Amino acid sequence: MTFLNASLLLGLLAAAIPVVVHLMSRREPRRIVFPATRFVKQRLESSRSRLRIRRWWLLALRILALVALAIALARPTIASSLTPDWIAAGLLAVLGVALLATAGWAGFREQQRGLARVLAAAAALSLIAALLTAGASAARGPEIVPTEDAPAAIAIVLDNSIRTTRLATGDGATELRSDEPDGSRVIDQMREHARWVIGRYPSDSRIAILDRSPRPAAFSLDLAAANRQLDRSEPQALTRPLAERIEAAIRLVRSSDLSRKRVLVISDLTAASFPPSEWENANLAALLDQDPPLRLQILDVGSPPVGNLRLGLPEIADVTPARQTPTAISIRLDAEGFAEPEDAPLPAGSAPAPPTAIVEMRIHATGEAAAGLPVIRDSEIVLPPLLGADRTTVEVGPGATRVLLSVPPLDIGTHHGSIRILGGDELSIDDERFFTLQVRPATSVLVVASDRESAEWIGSALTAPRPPDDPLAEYRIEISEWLPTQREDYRVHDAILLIDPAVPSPATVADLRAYLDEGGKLISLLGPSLGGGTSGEVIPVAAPVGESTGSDDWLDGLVRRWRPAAPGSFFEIDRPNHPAVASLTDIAGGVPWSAFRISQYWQLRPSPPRDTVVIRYAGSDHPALVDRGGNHLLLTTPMPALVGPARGWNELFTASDAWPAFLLIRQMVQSLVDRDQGSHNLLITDLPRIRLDTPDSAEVDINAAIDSSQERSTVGQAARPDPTVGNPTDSELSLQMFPPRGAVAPLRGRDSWVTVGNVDWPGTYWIRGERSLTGFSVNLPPSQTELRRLDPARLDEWIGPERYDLSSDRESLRRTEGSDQPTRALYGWWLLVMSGAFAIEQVIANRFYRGSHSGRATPVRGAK
Amino acid sequence: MTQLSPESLNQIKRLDLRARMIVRGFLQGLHHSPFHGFSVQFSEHRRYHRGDDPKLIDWLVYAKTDKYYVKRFEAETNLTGYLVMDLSGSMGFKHTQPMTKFEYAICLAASLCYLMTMQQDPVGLITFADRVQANLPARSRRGHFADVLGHLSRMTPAGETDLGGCLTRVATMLRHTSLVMLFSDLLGDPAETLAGLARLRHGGHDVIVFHVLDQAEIDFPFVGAVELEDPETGERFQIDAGGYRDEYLSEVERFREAYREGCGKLQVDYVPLSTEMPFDKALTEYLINRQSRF
Repeated sequence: MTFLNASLLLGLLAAAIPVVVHLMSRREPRRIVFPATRFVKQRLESSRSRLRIRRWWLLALRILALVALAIALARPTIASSLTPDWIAAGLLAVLGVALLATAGWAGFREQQRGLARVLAAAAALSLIAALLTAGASAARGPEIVPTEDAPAAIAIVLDNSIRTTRLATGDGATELRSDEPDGSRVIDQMREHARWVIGRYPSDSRIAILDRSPRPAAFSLDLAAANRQLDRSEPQALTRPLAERIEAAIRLVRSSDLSRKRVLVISDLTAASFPPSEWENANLAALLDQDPPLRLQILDVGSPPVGNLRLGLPEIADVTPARQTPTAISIRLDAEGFAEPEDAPLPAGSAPAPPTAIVEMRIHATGEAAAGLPVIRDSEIVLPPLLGADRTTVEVGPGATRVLLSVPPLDIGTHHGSIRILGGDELSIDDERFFTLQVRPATSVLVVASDRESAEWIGSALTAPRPPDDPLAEYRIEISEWLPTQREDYRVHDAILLIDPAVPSPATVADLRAYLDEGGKLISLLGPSLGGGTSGEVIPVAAPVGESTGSDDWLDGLVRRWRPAAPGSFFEIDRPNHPAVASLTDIAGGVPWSAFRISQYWQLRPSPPRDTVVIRYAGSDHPALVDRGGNHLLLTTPMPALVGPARGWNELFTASDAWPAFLLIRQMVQSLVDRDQGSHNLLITDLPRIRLDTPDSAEVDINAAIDSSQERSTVGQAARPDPTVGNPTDSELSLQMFPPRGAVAPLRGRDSWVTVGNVDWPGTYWIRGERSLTGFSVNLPPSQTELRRLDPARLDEWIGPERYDLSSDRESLRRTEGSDQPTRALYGWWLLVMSGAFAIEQVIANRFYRGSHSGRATPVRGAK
Repeated sequence: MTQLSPESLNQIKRLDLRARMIVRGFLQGLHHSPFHGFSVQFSEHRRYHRGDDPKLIDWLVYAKTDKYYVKRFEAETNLTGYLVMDLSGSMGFKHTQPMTKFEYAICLAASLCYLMTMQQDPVGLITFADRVQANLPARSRRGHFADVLGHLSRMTPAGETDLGGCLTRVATMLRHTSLVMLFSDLLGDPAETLAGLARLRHGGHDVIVFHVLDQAEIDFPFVGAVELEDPETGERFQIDAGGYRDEYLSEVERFREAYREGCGKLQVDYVPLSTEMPFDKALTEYLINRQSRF
């Protein structure tokens, strides 16, 4: 049993009042001279004992009435599960009182004194049993959570995912843009509900507002602080798992010493908030089951989608296109909540038919129009103007539609753009996606091959679709039969590609070693020229096992030429995320490597950790492509293997459709010379690590731009990068980042790399140093904006139907509030006991019936 | 009626005035005289038997028939009344009423005395407590009324009572059949009292018992713990008055019922009175009741 107003138990002291009155009334009886004492005398003895008993009864009843009133006002409550125990205790108590009354009645009669004693003993036993039962029930029962006006510890978890920027469904809601402050967003509804919940609790309650930001869970100081926290809870693009936040809320609430505890989750119940991977492993059920058990309340403020268009991630054919080369961007367009076309005619008020969407691509201007931008001007960030680049109209089907857009030829530099759907819908955040393209200066590649035909073949594969000698091509190809003789001549090339190299002289090995140590890149496509005409012959120059010429030898670990059994082996990608093969593994349906047979190759013994095996030969553990130290890629079979002795080693380029080999060689070179320089197209969950353009490669002269913008800028000083670390040649760089939302943030880079920590909103992030201007694009994963509703059956599965209440409106929420612990209030019963005791006391004391006695005592009137 | 209430009459000090007021007020309220029953009416002649008073021989009849006849009457020529007053200490009790039981009884006795004196009936007075104390013989002359009132006004109630014994003694004292009007609270042994009354009845006396009780004795209006003291014996005991009330009321009722029954059997008029009752009402109710029986 628990008393909800335990302080009112002090009222039990009032039980002393009848005792005091009893003791005081015993003193100094009034003396009255009264002649008719003979009537008193006759039954004096029997009446005296009866009177005594009655006085004790009166005293007991008065005490009982006051005690029952005090207990009733203290609002005793028991757990429903213990109701039978308490009923048993109550029945025993009633039986005891009844036996006591009978004993008292029997005590009036002389001859029944013995019976009276037996009855009194039975009554005492019964009362003791009642007390013991009640005590045992009170000790065994769970702690009762008080209701309504008792202070409570409440944690409100707002599921403020990015989807809460969606317009709340209502009259004409879909016509409004969500960025209008009209209070019709889902997040506003959530706040409203949370405020209502907070308002229903007394002011001494402890309230914690948790949302899906990583802010630590803590109780607010007071109700006002909780409301302020609610105001600060904006939709988050980068969210913590909801299950984790609920767990934090439960732990926080449990830490409170208040006995009334609540955890309320306000969510739109979209499936994206409840990914099975998070929820299947959540230990919410165990947390909720701890003693005392908590019951989760979930308030559903969401609704099924009524028409939302969603853009997927832009798929860019080449994120580093060649200068003045157009690129294609493909983007997926999903329609959610629209009616199937064949469902027509539709009844009024149902989902609208899928519309026609206009998808537009815009790119921020560069060059003169964007000189000095972005900059802070009049306290506002001024970005380079957006120019329309492509636009297409799409008939949106009920499922996914693919939209193809074309990026116009671009100059060297970093180009940011966005693709958006024109016109609003219920969730606007997924109507725009961002991308960043980098057009870099041509990379110098030296292709060394004994036969010029092979070299030209590889060269044109690299520069496709432009011819190898085109100045606009991505690569500046130089073909030679020999490696340079002077060590300094190596340096002018960004990469050297060796096609079927012969056994190098030690001086050449040393030169290559030095070239690699200075940051050069090397690709070796091994072939028959290394010697060993027959399979199994150990090559003479490369180190035999145990006799290495040096562990850093570029051909270290070669064992022998190897001929796999007919019809030959084929490639098997071992590390799909290696940049050299990443784009190949992304290809839908995979690459049919088994169609490209390898009939001869060099067996290589890799020596980790220097060597990373990227591709193996199927059916063996022999490596095919080895990444040796990050700057040297070693392919143990030759390419293109079209002519000469190499012909017949493999079918990589001789097969009818040689696109995988074409892509592989391009990707190998591209990954090695790092034209991607880390991706500039990121998801919001990624940690951006951006390589800055080196001053000599950036064609945009940032210094000049700053100088010209300073005169116009009112806050030029703030726009200028930190002058203390102004020298871009220092390893430490001082930069500024212009995020799509919020204030300009200073950044520190090191060794031309900068890591950005505070990316929390999709958009284009501009990074500006003294000499460089770069940036990156951040997109939301498309799954985050799926408005598909969660099937409530999944909640039963993950949490357990007995551990949570799902409400969809305030009324049902209020109903579920009290249901977390079935209790039974004994207020009424104790009031009944009090009234009963009072009524019996009145009857015994003859208070109500005095008047009729006096009437009867007038005999003459009665004789009429 | 209100002017005949004990409260208002208590302001009149002179007892004869009080008696007159009571009787006049009472006579005004009557439509018929109640005194016909007391008048002398010839009933019949009967033969003279030895032992009859020769004074009663009708000599005229003897002259005509030469036989001795005596006249018989409806009643005796004069109804001799005796006011028998209980002077015990308990009669001096009053609680909230303006008059003690004794004062109330005196008023009533004086009224009846006045009535009878107006009718030329002789009235005597006997007082008693533990024994018969004063004895004023019955006279019908005018001045006797003043004597009776003088006696009544001088008396104060004190001492114990022996109701049964005193009634027996009164019975032996009265030689002629008389109307005995007993004013008492009858707080004695009912059996003895009834025996005394039976003795009076046996002597041929007509008896009226005016049972005067204080209203507090009837209602027992006390609450809480009280110590009761018997004014006659000085005995004391503590009781819880509130809790005792029911017992007491039933005892009183039983007590009065015993008298009502006993008196009924003895053909004695039993008039229960409380000191709060107006006198004229008490008289009227009784006399109308009595007349209906004649």
